[in-house]
Amino acid sequence: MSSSNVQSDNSLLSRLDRAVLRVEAALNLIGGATILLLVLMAVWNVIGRKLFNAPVPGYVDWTSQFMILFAFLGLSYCQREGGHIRMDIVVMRLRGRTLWFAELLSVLFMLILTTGLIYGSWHHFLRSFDWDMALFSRDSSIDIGLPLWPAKLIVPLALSLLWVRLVLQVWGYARGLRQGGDAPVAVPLPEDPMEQASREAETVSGHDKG
Amino acid sequence: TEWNVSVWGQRRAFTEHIHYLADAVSEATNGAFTMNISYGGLSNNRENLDGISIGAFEMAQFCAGYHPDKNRAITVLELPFMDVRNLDEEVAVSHAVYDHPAVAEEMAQWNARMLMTSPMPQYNLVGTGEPRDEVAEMDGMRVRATGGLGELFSSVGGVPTSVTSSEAYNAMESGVVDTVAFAQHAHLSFRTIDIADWWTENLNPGTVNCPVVVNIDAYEALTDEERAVLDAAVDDAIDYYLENYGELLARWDEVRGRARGRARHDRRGAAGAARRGRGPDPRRLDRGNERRRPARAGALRSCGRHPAGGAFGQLSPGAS
Amino acid sequence: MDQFIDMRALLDGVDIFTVSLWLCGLLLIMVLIGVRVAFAAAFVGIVGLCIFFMQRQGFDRGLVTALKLAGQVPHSKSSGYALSLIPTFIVIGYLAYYAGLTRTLFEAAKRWVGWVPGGLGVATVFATAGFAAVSGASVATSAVFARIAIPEMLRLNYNKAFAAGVVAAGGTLASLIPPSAILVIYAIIVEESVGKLLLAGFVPGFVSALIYAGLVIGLAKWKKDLGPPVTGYTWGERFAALPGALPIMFVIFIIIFSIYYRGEDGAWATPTEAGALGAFVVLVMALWKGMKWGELKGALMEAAKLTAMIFAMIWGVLIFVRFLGYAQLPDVFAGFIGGLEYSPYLVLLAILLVYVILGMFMDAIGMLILTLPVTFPAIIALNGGPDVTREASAFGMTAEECAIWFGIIVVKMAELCLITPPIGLNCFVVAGVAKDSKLPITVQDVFRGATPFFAADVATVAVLIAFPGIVLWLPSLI
Ligand code: NA
Ligand code: NA
Repeated sequence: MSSSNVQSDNSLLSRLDRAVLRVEAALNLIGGATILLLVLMAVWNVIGRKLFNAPVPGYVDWTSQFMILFAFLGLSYCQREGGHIRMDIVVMRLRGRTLWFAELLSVLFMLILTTGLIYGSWHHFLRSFDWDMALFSRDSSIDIGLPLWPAKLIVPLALSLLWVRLVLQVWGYARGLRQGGDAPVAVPLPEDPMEQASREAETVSGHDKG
Repeated sequence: TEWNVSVWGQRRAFTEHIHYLADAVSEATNGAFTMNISYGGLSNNRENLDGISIGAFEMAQFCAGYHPDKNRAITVLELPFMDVRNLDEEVAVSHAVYDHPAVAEEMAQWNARMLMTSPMPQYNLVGTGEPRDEVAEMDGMRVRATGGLGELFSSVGGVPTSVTSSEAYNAMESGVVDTVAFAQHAHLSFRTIDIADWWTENLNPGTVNCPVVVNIDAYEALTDEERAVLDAAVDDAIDYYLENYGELLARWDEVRGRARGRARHDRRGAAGAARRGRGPDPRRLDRGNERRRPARAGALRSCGRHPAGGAFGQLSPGAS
Repeated sequence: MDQFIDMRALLDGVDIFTVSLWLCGLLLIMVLIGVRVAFAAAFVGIVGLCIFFMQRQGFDRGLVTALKLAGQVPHSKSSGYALSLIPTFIVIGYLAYYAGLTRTLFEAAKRWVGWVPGGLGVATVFATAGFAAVSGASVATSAVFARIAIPEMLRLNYNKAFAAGVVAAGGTLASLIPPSAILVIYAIIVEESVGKLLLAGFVPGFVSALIYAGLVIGLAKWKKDLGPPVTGYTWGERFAALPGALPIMFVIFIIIFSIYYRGEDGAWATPTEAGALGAFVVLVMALWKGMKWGELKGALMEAAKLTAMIFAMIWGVLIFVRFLGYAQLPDVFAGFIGGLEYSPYLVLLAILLVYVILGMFMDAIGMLILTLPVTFPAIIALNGGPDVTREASAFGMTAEECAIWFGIIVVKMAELCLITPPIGLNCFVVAGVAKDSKLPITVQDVFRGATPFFAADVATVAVLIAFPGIVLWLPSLI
């Protein structure tokens, strides 16, 4: 697993960062486990259909529901680790306060966006949810009629965790901007391509076998 | 006034009445009331009701079976064995149901108002291998059919198999499924008919019901003249749709004729071919052991009128 | 309430199409200053939707409508069944490494083709092509082979830039030869059959590998100091190396068998399911080889993180695309391209040139997702529209064939950007892995070594354009 490029110390911010990280990492692992789960379900579907003429009922419906887990549970973890793609050709050349200002601006954009998306995706959930209906459902899948609200609820929840993460990063970069220096805590530090690549390489640096 | 209209896929027989409506309205108001019809640009097909509800566009088409819990009331129109024999009847039946207060009330929860239907003929099976022309032969049949249709086939021993509609051709060609249930235009566009050894013509297992709705606020914000023009254009639009869909069914007969010829010459012997093109009679599923009646080509287009009342007294939610 | 009315007056008469052009510019600036691409695209998309709806509904209602509309996209676009393959393809690459599939593959390739000029380079090309048949991601493939092939080449005094370049370029084959995450993404965006696109990549992938191999042989003949052939293996040793490559053959066999074998009762699986079957077999092999819980967990954490990143790209950009749908920018651009008087091949070439330039700075997936909503309808219009017949079309193919053909070409272009400076992910990764080897290899070295392969890729694209049959033959069989 890649070592992350986030500094820590004993400050409140850094302790909060690590506390939130524990939640993020656990959710990310669940997301990863869902990938395996879907692989197993596909195998069950094929074997069941072929050998027992009994495919998984509503296989496509179930897959679509579970996909939301691996699409969103790692969202905030990815941001913590600086994993979302960006073009760092300009950022790479910045140093010190200029850099922290650029980063602060960048996460502020993200924070505004995420706030808006939480509102929007929460209403998307609300439209599919109804206390008075069977299974609380007001929107269901095409084949076996699975209620859609649980999957729709995952999205605003995952975005809310991302929101918390972004607030911490705003705090972190603002501190970097005020204090100056090269390595504020609780934010992913920009890496030059070589560092980035060697971290990438570590992901396959287990034992060589075979 | 400018309306955005959300539909999906590509322009096809299934959306022609909307284009007709847009042209008619624009013409009657000298361009004061226009509609932009967007194929997938404004919304996903399963979220058109959501879009209407939040006011993202003013008019949209959707299918009840895509999300039964959103529109329980009209799923009654998708029930099997309703004996709706042609598109004219489908229109009459649909609009009668749309006028029911329970439907209007449910649609109002989405800020939507029913405008017209997009009538679809009854679904039919196309399949590979020996024709399944007895109910007993459907035992163990892997069929691509979703929702209530799938339940129907499983009640006679069929195995509903979950593949997406875009995978349907490949799944049937490779034998992952034995049969696929679609309306004719979908069999044509997904090309399942091209590889079929046999098909049914009057199975009557139900269909999907796909209304066109308008946003209530937008509808009420129209001037009286615009609203009158819109309402008046509906009947003509439906007539145009029916005429156009009739041409499509003629093409269906033609493609099917080709497939029949190919099946006879390329696949198996003449003995097998003799039974091709005959589907199970709904009456068999429906009424037990009455003698099987040979299906007639063109049965879908027969124009007998059918009283469109009675059955719609009780609106039972959850056809699927 | 007053300022809301002002808002409407302010926006009144602002043409939404002009706004969309300005917002494309804003997006470019945000991406340049380092805002994460997915979020920059979503942000600009929401701004656009706000302007659109505020014009029509006033400030507060317009804002609410825009946010609710954008808020549908993440769930709606992430639950499309065909996308379920993406994480499978990512995780399979990690697992294949732990299943020990890479070293044995390289060893077998070395013994069988090492005797030609530049032998280890050719072996690397074929080993990466073989590994591509189980791995769906280019960067991972390069990383894996950098650890195995480069030290061996350096030991035999291969030119270090060349050794690094061949690994960086070989990795790009993983995205053409199925399984491939990027081909799935293309298929989703243009709404084309995933199975057909994956099949379509097969032959071009191998053509591409052959062109690479030919290039290596040519280079080795021309510059004698590039690296020696590896001779002296007996046929016995060659056959002895094959069992090591068997597991990978087995995975490929499982995938192909399950799609194509027709028994009494039809095929085993759809192409989508076959991808999952392959992943399952590799997982079992990795566990069989003694993959530890820590390693499995590490692989899952990485795969989940990458998956979240890719899905964020997809829904983020699709929020922007939703706005473009309201502004009708793709329609207008397609109309413009379709109405051009120039030769369609010239226009195609111009579009590909734009991809080369974008590709110098951008990530492959990001580039495709950002540009396709505009370029794809334009290409279809250029060919003659969605209903065109072969005879009447510009490129001599139906719209569906055009979509598949353009997909393979554009994915090849996107792979190009992995080996072009200044931002070329494969080259960074190779340099990062190789920094521990006995000769220091800098990023510049890798880029220099990869340059001839850039030329080879241009040749490949030219071949694919000249002979579309290479792309279209295999998918036409299903
Ligand atoms: Na691959
Ligand atoms: Na590049």
